[in-house]
Amino acid sequence: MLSELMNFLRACFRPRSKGYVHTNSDSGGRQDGLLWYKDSGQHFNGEFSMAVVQANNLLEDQSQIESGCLSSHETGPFGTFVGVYDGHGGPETSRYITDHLFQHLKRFTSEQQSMSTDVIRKAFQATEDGFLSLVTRQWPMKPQIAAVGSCCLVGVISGGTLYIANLGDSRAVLGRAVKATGEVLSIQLSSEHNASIESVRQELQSAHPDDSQIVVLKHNVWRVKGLIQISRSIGDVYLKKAEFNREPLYAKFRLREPFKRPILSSEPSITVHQLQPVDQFIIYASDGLWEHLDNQEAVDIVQNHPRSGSARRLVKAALQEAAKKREMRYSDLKKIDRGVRRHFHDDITVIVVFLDSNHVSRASSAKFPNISVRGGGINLPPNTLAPCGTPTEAGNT
Amino acid sequence: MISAKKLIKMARKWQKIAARSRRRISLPRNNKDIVDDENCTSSFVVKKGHFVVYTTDEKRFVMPLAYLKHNILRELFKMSEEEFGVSSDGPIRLPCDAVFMEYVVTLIKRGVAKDFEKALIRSMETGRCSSSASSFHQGLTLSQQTLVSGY
Repeated sequence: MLSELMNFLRACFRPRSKGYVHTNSDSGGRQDGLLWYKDSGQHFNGEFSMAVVQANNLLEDQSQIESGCLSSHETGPFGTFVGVYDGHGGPETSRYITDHLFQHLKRFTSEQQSMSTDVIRKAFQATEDGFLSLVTRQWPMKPQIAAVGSCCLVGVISGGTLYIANLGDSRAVLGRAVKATGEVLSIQLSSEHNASIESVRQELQSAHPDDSQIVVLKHNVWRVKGLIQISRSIGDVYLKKAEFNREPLYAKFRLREPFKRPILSSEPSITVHQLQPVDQFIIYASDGLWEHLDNQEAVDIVQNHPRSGSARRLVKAALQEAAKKREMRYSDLKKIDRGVRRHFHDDITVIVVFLDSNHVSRASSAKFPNISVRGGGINLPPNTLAPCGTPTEAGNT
Repeated sequence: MISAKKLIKMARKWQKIAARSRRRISLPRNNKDIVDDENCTSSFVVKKGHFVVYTTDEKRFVMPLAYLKHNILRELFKMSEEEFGVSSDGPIRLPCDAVFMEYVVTLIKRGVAKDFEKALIRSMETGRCSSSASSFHQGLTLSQQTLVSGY
């Protein structure tokens, strides 16, 4: 009894400055400074490669790959689930999505006994609703959680079909071989919800015809209500429910006029693709990558090198580009501490999923063990009130 | 706006610092360094162990990486993010002019006293908290004029 108590206290007073490295027992990821990577792993439909580089003081990007059974029942369906969650305002929403979205997806898949766009849509909705309840509960103690949100990009491969669901500005890009030329072309699979895109601004304007200030151009960047670049997200409840857009939320987040309709949407754009033998790989990444590399550059880098380490290579290419834009050396950029590092580049998450045509359409488990890997980083506890929160959560994975 | 009392207090300390050494600040480089050559961005890349920022009047400052640990600079970075957002396709731009930046560099070089550093950050924050960006700039310009008058 006493020793348990001592252990608990010890856990609580663990020096936080050392950081808590989130490593899942079967992830096998490595940490090198602010870079976390898993060069190669096996998923249900082929190989994968994963890398994350942290820039924010608390890593706001979260990511996961779950492969094997995609339902709560062992009977399947089987396949591979990939999630990239680019948080903003703090890590709370993206961490919440990592802990809940796939669980919801498995539950709805079992209920409907198959994978579908409806299952994915419901899983997104349940995650959004769950996070709203969390904000409602925490609002009295921690009102700033109302201004935390996350982009949410999901890809599901099941029975030869690829589903891509997206909220925000992360992106999934397919590398498809052209037989005649031997080239591998990039095909963007996800649609993005960033106010820099004209159709997104039009969508906002038509949804809010009475608000001439729904999108505002400030220092050459379009922002919804002058506050946020994306038009769809999980969280950001201060722009979805008027009752959270008031004191004690910081003044900079409070709108002058009360609003009746949600300003941001949580409805994902979902596309369905039948995978073909010419489809080689899918690159999933947060906008931290895409602001430095275009789709074809990224596909070329993956195509022209060994599969192992693909994700890390993409992160390196993006960092080299970031260093060039900041007029400094890549070797020096890597020396900059997290936090201040955010002024040089964003958090970057990359997952490359290779499609082995022999395995893409297989539907039975064939004794494939379920795998679960989460993108790492120095995961400090989300707030100082609960220093033991993160290790406990990690134990649940 | 920052209070006159605070300004005078800062100016006095500045005069003391300035009196200790009349050496002229070597930065920034002149505009000839900022040659617009899109095809060869690598020619911009600074020497090892340094990073680059630009001020609102387009002056380029090359600083050692160690400066990134300094609170005044971190505060300027934060203000830059709030003013301009984090740029994804260009160099870092700080929301102050070259004269102010030279002053900051001098402070960092000389290892400024903690309370003075705090007062300066507070004066910068006061400017930042005001709703209009223009009054923020006035705040910085005013403080820097007063402070530099010690020369």
